[in-house]
Amino acid sequence: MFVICGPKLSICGFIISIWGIIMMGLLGVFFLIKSPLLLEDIPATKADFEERAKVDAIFQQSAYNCWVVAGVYVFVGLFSYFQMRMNSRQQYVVT
Amino acid sequence: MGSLFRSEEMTLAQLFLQSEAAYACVSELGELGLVQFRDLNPDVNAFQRKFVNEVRRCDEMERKLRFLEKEIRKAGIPIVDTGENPDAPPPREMIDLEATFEKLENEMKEVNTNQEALKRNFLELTELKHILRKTQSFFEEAEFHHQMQDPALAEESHALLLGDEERGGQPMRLGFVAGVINRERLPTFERMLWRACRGNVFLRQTEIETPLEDPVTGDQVHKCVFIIFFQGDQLKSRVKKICEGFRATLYPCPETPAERREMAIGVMTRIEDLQTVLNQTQDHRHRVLVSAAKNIRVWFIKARKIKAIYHTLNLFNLDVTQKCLIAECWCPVADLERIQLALRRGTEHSGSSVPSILNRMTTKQAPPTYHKTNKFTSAFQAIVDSYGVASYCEVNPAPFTIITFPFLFAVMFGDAGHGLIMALFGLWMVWREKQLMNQRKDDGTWAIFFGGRYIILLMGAFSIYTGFIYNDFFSKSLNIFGSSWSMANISDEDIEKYDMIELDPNVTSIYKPRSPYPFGLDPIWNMAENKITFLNSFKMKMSVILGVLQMSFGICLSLSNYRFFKDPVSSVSVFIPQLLFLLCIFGYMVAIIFYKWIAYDASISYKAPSLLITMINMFLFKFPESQDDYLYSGQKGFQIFLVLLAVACVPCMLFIKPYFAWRAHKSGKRTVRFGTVQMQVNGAAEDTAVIMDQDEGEMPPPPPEGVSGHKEEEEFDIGELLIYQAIHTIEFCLGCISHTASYLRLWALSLAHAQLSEVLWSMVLHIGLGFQGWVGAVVTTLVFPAFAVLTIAILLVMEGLSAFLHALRLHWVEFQSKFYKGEGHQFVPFSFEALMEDHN
Repeated sequence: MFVICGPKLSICGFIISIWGIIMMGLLGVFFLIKSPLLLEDIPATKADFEERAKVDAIFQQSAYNCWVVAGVYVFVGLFSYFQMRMNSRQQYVVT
Repeated sequence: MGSLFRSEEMTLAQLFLQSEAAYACVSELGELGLVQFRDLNPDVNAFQRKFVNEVRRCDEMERKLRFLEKEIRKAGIPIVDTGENPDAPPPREMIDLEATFEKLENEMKEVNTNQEALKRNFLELTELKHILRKTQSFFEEAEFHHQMQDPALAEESHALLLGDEERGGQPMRLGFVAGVINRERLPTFERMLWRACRGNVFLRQTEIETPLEDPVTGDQVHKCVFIIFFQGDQLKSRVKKICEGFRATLYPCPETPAERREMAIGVMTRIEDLQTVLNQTQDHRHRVLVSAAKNIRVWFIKARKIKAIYHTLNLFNLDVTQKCLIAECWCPVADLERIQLALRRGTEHSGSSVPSILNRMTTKQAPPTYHKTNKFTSAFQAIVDSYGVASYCEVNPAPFTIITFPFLFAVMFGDAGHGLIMALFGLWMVWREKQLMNQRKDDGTWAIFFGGRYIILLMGAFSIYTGFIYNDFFSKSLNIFGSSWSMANISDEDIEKYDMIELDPNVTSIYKPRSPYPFGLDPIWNMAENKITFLNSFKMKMSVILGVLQMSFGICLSLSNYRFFKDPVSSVSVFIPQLLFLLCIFGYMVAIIFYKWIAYDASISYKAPSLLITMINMFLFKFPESQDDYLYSGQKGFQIFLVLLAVACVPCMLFIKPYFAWRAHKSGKRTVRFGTVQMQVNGAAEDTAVIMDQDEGEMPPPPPEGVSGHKEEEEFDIGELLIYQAIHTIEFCLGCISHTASYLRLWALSLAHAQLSEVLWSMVLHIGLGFQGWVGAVVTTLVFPAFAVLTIAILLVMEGLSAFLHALRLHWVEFQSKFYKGEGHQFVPFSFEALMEDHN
């Protein structure tokens, strides 16, 4: 495996990924249970609010979106983790 | 008294050390690090002291070691840090050390000069080699041209080169010089040549591809080989001058190819020989440095310890008989046993038969302040100390700061999400304490964060708590227990009809009055339009309550000071009126805040009187007509009583203390008051300390700065005392009002923090969530890192710093001004450990 990120970037990526996985995972759950607080965050137009089913669908879509993001960050996190390992190994070889 | 509440009890002690045992004893004391020595000959300058020679020798040793260290670092050899801490070597070992360092340094210097000479030689030869190789091609080219071109053309070109005077003459003898010049100098060199010789020289150059090493600096330099053709001696000397000016090195270059070849072969063999010699020198140097690198840390420690010991010995007084040294030092009373033990050990080490004597002295001088801290409390003590070091045995605010500081910070930083991140960061630093301790010691910012790791951890933990109270989690509320408000009974028509619906808490189907949200703010407020209005009222009241509590606690602490310093007059005439004044005005305000919260529920809240108006009217003695506008019956009388009581406190603060002082003075008794315990800055009072049982006649005259305390008892000035008291009283009374207002920053900053995090959510993360379909996922993925980075940069670092500063101010000004003098001076013990840390 190649070393693409430096030690700092990979640590940064790793931390942000963990944060992203937890936060987006939870946010997805909250969208799924249709938290009224998140009403202003969903991409629904005024017309959508006429029909309850539409709003429900949008909530569900938002939940899936969040989990997709969380999934992406799982990969980013794994990648950063391996980069971190490679970097630390390199350091080990040098000193 | 080994607590953080007051500083350690200190005593001035006299040490009698046998001259032969003094060194060993001081060494032991240095390892112990509990003794602060006083300079007993302050008027003797540094060069006239007894051990100045030894200190100089140590300086010399350190210089040699630094030289060696520099060489080691330059050679890229790692210096092993074994963590070993050798004791200070006995004085006789110093000669051995000196000899070792001397030998090493000389060897190093010799090797360095040799190596430099060799390298210069090598450079010259390499340059010559390059010249021979490159010029070869020039000459070949020239010959080639000679053969190719017809004579007429050749003549033409020469003619052009040489100008008019030589036209038509016989073929000329062209002279040339060859040399090497720095590549960056070449363009100017060329132009200079052209101008100075009016274009009558011909310059050819090529670059040397491999960089050459400069023998002096060791840098890699790029150079060029050049060859200049010219005609005549005058031009030759001119060219040579220019070459010299440009630091070009000229080398002799034979004219015929055969000679050149021969020379090249000679140069090559010499280079090879030189290379082997150079390699050997390099190896030798490396070996020397590696062996030095193994020991250099230990040597440094030893040299520094010896130096510190002699430096300390210089502070001592010599006895008349020259048999013993006399030292004076401050030491904590609780540790006297350990100091005695160390002295005994030192005496044993030196093999002296006469024991060292430690003798306690009494003094009028203010002892230094010494708080025994550990790694947890030291950061909080540092917060207090940076305002002012506590006066000797004064109540130390640090133990209370441990709780109140992170708490007040958290009130301003109330967001559980941000608190969580901060707490995790702090936890990580505490967790990896040992590993992190040795890393990146020289990084200033990191050192600040790492030094405050326990503060950060606590601030984070408290912020999680206040975050749950405010129900803020990255500006969103969590509905953990289920909101007490319900929309179930509101008809769909109403919802469709109105943009906004008012939830009336008096309707039981909407609000369950007997079961409020169990912990913190009801999450429904996060959606309410009047959220800020509601929160402002709550947070402002909370700020005032916290402020009044902390200030009255501060005043109570001042009582502890008065009692400790046996000042009953102040506890009656200052403490009681101060507390009454604060409680009558702002304590009453806190009381009616609580009363209003309890006594008025939703059904009658519309007719509750405004607290602010009530308070203002209280001072104007203006009272409402109707009975409904009163908070409680008998309010009028009680409020008038409180105001009068508060006003009555002012003359008490003003006059009682001066009166008692005046009476005591009149009756001829010396007053024992807090003020007479002299608190002085270290430097000014250095030589005022006097052994109490010493004869009055032998007393040295106190310096002019130190007199005020003594004089006060002799010339009693009632006017001055009155003015002093008046200033303090006015300061306190006005302070009470302005400080209470100052606590409103708790509300202002927490509002700012909540709003900022809400803005960050809606401006950044909302963009991602606001896209329809799967595009939303893509955009959110891209936007989230921005959200994370901005959260850390703005909300955690920037807002955190501002909340930190405000919490700091609330402690320094609002809290500590009530009881803390902070006029002491720090106890700085003679300690090898601190010495080594300074050097790292």
